[in-house]
Amino acid sequence: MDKMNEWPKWQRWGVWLSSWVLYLGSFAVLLSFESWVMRGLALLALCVGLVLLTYSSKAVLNERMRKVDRWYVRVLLPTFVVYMVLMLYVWPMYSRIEVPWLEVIVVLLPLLPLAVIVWAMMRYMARCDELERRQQLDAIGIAAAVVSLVSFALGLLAATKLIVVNGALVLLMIFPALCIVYGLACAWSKWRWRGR
Amino acid sequence: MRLEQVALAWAMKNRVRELREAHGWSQGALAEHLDVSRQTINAIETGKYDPSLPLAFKLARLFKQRIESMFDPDEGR
Repeated sequence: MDKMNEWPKWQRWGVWLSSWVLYLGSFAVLLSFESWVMRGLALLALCVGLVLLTYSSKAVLNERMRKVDRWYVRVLLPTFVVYMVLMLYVWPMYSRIEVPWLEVIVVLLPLLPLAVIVWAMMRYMARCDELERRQQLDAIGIAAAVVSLVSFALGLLAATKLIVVNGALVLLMIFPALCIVYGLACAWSKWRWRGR
Repeated sequence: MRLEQVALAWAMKNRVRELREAHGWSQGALAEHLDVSRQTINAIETGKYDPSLPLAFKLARLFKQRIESMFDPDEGR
């Protein structure tokens, strides 16, 4: 699979599209079912989708997977699984815990894999080449600008009571929103510089 | 004027493509030698991006050239 960039164009695009379907589909299954078997299968499919997506995203741009990319996937994948397991099975238990300090630990436990993911992202960026770092910087700048503007707009509307927002939900959405906009901006930037 | 056009107007001319082709390497192969992405090689060759000094020296060493014979700061402007 390391040589996916040498596959015919239609195969690379086919894998890329299929991996998106697998990734999003397994996410939907994961959130819709409560049985261990279905969630386990969905998590497995999610991991396969994530790996295929990483490899094919490089391949559609005629890029090979480098050592740093493989390292990133190796760190990210198990950490992501730990995060999902914690969020699905451990975090909901907080309401059944009666010891306050233990409750705080259980509620904050998903922060551990998230911290590893942030560390891996920082290390990955530091090991990228100079043009890739520039692309990352552009993407981070765009993500920060978009999320700041949207949250400020929401804040203005909420302060004047024109809309009602759930404060906890808004706080929880900041990190995913940053990640999503950063990912989209990164993809746009890589596409812009793709060359032939 | 678009950002890429401004960048192109200020980019240095270089002989990276000429030297790479003389060695019979693809952009991907050269990228592998330098441990950078193929995009980076393409951006340097097309003058959209000027490499940093360390990368320019790596390129010059790889092609056994003097750095000033590979990059011309005056020609692109």
